[in-house]
Amino acid sequence: MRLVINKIVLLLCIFSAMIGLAFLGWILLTLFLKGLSSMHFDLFINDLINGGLRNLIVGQLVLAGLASLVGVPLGLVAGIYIREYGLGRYADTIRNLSDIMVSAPSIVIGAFVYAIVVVPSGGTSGFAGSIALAIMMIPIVINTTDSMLSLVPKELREAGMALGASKYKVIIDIVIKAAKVGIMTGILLAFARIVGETAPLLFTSETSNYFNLDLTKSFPSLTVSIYDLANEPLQKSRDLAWAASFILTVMVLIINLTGRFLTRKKG
Amino acid sequence: MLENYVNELKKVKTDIKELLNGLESANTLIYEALYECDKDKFTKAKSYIKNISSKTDAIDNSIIKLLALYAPEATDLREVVSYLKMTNEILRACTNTRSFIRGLLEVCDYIDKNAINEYAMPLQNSTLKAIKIVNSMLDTDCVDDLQDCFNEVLIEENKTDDLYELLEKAILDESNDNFEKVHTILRAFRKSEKIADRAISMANLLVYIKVGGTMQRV
Amino acid sequence: MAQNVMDIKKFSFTYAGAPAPSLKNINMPIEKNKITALIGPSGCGKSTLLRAMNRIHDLYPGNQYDGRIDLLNEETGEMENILEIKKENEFIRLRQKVGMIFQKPTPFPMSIFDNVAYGLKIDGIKNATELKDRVETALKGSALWNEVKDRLKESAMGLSGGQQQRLCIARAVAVKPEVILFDEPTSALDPISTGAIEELLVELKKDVSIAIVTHNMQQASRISDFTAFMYLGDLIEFDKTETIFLNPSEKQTEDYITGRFG
Repeated sequence: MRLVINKIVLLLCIFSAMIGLAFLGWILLTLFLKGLSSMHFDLFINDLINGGLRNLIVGQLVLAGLASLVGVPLGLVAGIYIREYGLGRYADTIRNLSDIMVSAPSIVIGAFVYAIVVVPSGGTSGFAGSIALAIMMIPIVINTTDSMLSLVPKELREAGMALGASKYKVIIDIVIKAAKVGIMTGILLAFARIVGETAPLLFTSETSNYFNLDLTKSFPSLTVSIYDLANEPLQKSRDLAWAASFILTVMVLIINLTGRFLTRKKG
Repeated sequence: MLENYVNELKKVKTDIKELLNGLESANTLIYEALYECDKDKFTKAKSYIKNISSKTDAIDNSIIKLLALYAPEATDLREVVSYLKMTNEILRACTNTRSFIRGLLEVCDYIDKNAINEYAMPLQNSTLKAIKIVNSMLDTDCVDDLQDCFNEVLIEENKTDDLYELLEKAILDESNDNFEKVHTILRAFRKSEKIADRAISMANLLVYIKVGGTMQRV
Repeated sequence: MAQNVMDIKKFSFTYAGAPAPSLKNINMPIEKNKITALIGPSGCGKSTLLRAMNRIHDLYPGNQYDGRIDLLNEETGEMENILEIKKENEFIRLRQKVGMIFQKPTPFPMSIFDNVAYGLKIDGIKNATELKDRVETALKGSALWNEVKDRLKESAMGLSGGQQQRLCIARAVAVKPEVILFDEPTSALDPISTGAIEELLVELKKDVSIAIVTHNMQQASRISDFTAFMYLGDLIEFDKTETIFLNPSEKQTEDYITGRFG
């Protein structure tokens, strides 16, 4: 009887997994088919004003890159603080807050930045967009840094201190080096996450049809433009949206796979 | 292998060797002195087997310490336990040697020269050979050689049994002397035969070290 | 003349937030150039005591010390209480004099050379030749030189467990400490590596005093000169190793040694 139940449960599990995979496969397939048919080399040469995606791709990367410049160091240092220096309750509070922030609705973050940056400064800007993305990125980096550092065995720290090294030396020379790969992967994945965000940018940097590197104005964004294009009645726009979606997916996929490659089990 | 352990093990073996050397030297001198009844040589022989019980005690305690601290196994364990039993045999052999010397000092002059030539000296010779072979076995590692040596010791030990009987008969036939003197003479030479008995026990233990199996009396 | 390099006097220790002391009134010497073993069942406090001897407990705040632990100052010949140390640079100097090896080998994520040189660089040694010489001496002293001399620049993580532990020992030895504390150094290793490290320890004691915690009684009987038997935070018996293993005074000691515990 037990064997029969075993088999039934096993089949149910496989079935559920198949459903999940099926949807994933369906999405990728749809993207692939719809996107590929609208792809041509010109997309990478022209800006949106001319029916291309160049400014959007560059813009998205710039926004995410700038956010990383702020988000990564802040997240790293905060993560190191709560794991290595944190004293009990205080560190736990920061950790919990960070956890909450990770699942904060991205639209809310966008609205927040609208209120504190866009309104006072009188208009949308690339800066506002980056700030929103940075606010999203920091908790993610804190979390992964914290987790990766927690994987370093406490004996390693004790061994460093037992040789007479001071605390900060142990952290820099030994602990961070030991968690290096994990931390870098965490950062990479955080980047992959924010490079695909739309809601934080909707009211903050919006998007632009032109190739624009001026961060004080509306800044081109691949994700926001997909939203805009998909809402336009023209078939051409919709096709462009598919192509853009395809490119975005490939970008995120590549970054994710790189992360996986870095953390593969070595021989 | 830990240095202390190796050194302790070596030391025990060296100490045992030293005792066997003393036993051999004492019995060699006895043999040499028998024909002439050289009392000085007899006394000198005694000097080779002085303080044996304190020496065997020391060896025993070393072995106990070795067992407690190093928990030897296999050949090492057999070796150490065999030495522990051997100190007993050596002690008794030395005691027998001393009694032998004491007896000889008392009555050697009264023994018939013929009897000495024909039986007493071969008897002591066999005993001496047995001891010599045992002494050499301590340094032998080859199992076959050890087995051969054991057989040789067995032969010598059997010879001592036979020779003692013949000696006993010769002296009893011969002498119309007083009973006490005869008794002392026989008792003295009985000791030599007993030394040979101890030798075969020792040989048995030494074979056990290398061959293994279970410990058995001869 | 037997000299003590450390002296533990009426020492008690309570972990942060614990209701009762984990160590109660311990009195014990650590003799110079000898190996002192701490044995006892799990939870008896032997590791706690060892870790107090280089104050590694202080990495985790809130612990309470009572009594004193004296360490010989080689320059002045005086005994100084290490429980009074408060300043960071004094802690650093303490740990340069009293090293520690852990149960799990802890190679740093750097090259073999850098591992051994780590403590030396902290000490301020910068001269490349001097570093090279001292690293070589340390590696020779822990019987690892021949195995690694051609790959000093390779990562230490590529060494086997036994080699890693010997690397940690070389690392500790390089700074020429007075005492090295070993916390069950061979429990995670196979018998051959264990044997190699035991031989190493017996060699090492010529230069450095050693305190070792081990749950393997035979290890204690094989290599140590003195043994301390501990139970539930108390020091039950401390004596020469041959006395403890042949003629223990306390029944509890005897019960533990003969396996009649519990």
